[in-house]
Amino acid sequence: MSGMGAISSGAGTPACGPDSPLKGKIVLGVIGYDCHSVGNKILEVFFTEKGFQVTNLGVMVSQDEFIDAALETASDAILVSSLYGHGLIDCQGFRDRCVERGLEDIILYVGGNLVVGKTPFSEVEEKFKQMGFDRVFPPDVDLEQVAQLLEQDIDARRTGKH
Amino acid sequence: MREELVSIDIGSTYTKGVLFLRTEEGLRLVRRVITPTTQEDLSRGFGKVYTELTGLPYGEAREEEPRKGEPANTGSSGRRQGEDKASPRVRFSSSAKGGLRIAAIGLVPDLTLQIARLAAWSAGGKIVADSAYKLREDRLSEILRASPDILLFTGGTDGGNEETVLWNAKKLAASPFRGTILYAGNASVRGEVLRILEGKRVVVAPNVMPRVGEIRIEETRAAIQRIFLDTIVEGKGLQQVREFCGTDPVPTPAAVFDLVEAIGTHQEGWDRFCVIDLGGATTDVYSVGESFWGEEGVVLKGLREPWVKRTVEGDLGIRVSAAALWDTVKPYFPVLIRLVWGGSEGNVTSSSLPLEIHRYVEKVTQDTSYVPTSEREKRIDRFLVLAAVAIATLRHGGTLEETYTPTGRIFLQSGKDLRPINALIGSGGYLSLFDLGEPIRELFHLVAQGGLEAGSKGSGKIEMGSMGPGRAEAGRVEGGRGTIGESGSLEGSSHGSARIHLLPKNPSYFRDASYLFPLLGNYAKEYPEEVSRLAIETLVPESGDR
Repeated sequence: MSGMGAISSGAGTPACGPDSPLKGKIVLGVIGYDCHSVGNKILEVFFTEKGFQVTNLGVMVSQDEFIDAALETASDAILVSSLYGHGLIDCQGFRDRCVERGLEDIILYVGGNLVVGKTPFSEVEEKFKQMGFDRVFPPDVDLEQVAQLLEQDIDARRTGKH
Repeated sequence: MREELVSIDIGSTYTKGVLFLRTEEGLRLVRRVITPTTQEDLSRGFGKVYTELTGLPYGEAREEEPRKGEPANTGSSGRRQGEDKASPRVRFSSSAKGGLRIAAIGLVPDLTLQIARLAAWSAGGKIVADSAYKLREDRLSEILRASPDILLFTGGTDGGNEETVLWNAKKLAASPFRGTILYAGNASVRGEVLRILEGKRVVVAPNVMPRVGEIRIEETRAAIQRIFLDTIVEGKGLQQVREFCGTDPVPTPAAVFDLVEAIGTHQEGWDRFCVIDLGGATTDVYSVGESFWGEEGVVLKGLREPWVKRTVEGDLGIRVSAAALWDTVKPYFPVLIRLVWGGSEGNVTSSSLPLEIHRYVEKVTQDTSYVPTSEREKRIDRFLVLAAVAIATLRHGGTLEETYTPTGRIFLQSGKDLRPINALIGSGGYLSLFDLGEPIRELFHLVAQGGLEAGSKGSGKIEMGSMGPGRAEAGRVEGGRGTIGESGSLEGSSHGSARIHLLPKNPSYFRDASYLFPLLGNYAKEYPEEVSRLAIETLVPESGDR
């Protein structure tokens, strides 16, 4: 996994693979029994406007539903939201499950209020990265920045650098 | 307006026909004819029925006036004059030896593969083999062994997965499969798939799942029926019948499907019902109604299933498939026994009943036209019927699973919610003959509470008392709409399971006593309102007060 954490300006670089006008295909959803739907809708609109093809699964999505959708759509990335504080349990084993089901190189992002309490974000980030997530975001992240990283990671994945 | 309509259904055992009279007042049944199907040349039985219905000779073409003149007018005096021809219009259906054999290939089991199944069923087919993900050698051999007429090949959304789809195409190209391949997968690789499959018989339809969760099966359904015509109807005299009628046959189950849809669309008060067609080899279940009602506290997982849904169970039948049915139903034995025999059979485990049923099943599997003679045998038949109805409806309907979340208790629904179904129509031999409303309602009540699985839950002791009134009913839908009633009425079961089967609550029972459904269905596309009205009018309601 290259360029983890490195922020480079994605501007000017070609958007995507040679035969796709899109920046990439992504699956969105709120994991577990979490029904926070507003942010999910915002993400859908935002990433669609940014030129990604979005499959939004909405709220209360299980790991397998994320993976099913990613398989059928051949998506580049799965973006997992969690806002109710149980993200750590819900996301346990997500990467392993992807690997088991043939998505070993899919890009996995997670963001939101991932844990309950005042754990420093760096610790949270570390935990989720150990679980196999490529990038971890706090609730107040700048979405522009996420979109740039995503584009960059998808490019890398498509050219085999991921 | 006075128009005569002939409808004929060529079944595997009998060829049935009716003559309808269509006037401003609607459709009326004039005459019915039934004769054994002539397997070696289907047109002979067909011709016989046609002549008996109309008094007209069955010949090669109907464009001209019937040559041997003599419209020995059997009462059909008001024959339409002028315009095109003197002979009445004919529509016909064919059961195609118990249904179209379809193998389904999809990518993810709960997505494209499930939609492929729904499409095949709705077209009147039955699934004889299936495969998800990459087609492996053993799966492929299974498919070949099942010798399907049609291989429904799906996978990927439009613009989605290509790798698995192309892999599967290559596997199919290299296989000796000789039937028709219907490609209804990722449209972006359709061209490439066609190239890979060059040399095979291939038909294409739009993707059954263009986007995740979006079901599009109409065109696939139509394509399956066209393939049915082009490849399955060959030989056996059907081609001749086709030319004579100037029209194509419809697969019998598809005719019933069309009728069921017409009833749901055009008949007031009939927007939530099921039809169960139980035969010797298969049990078909049709349902009309919303799949998901959006109740408070219930979340739908997976696909939102279609408003009209058909499933067909090839292992549930009371003659040809009796052995498979008996195998399937063994775990539910204690409950069904009580339902059929009441308490009189005493301790089930020590009774000789299982052995008796086993022997009876052997007998009827050998002699598929066997009619029970003794009271004991009739009971066993009833047992088999109720077993098939229970399992087929269970498989057709969805479930609710109770789950606790940080914000409280919720229910996860998967599959179709049949609770609001308020009428059940029995069709096919046994169900159209016998009034089974009461036992079926009891059965559904037990099953909804997880009762049928009593054996596997280690208790096996569903008390008859649990069916009594005043008990919190599992999965009630008040007035069939929107709410789950007072909290607590969804209180699962007291048997330790929080899984609820979404079966019809307290449906009225009707019988298609004269087995008119396929015959009416043949005209359901042309005269949906009239045909569905006659279907409802000819239903026999339950005897006794309801």
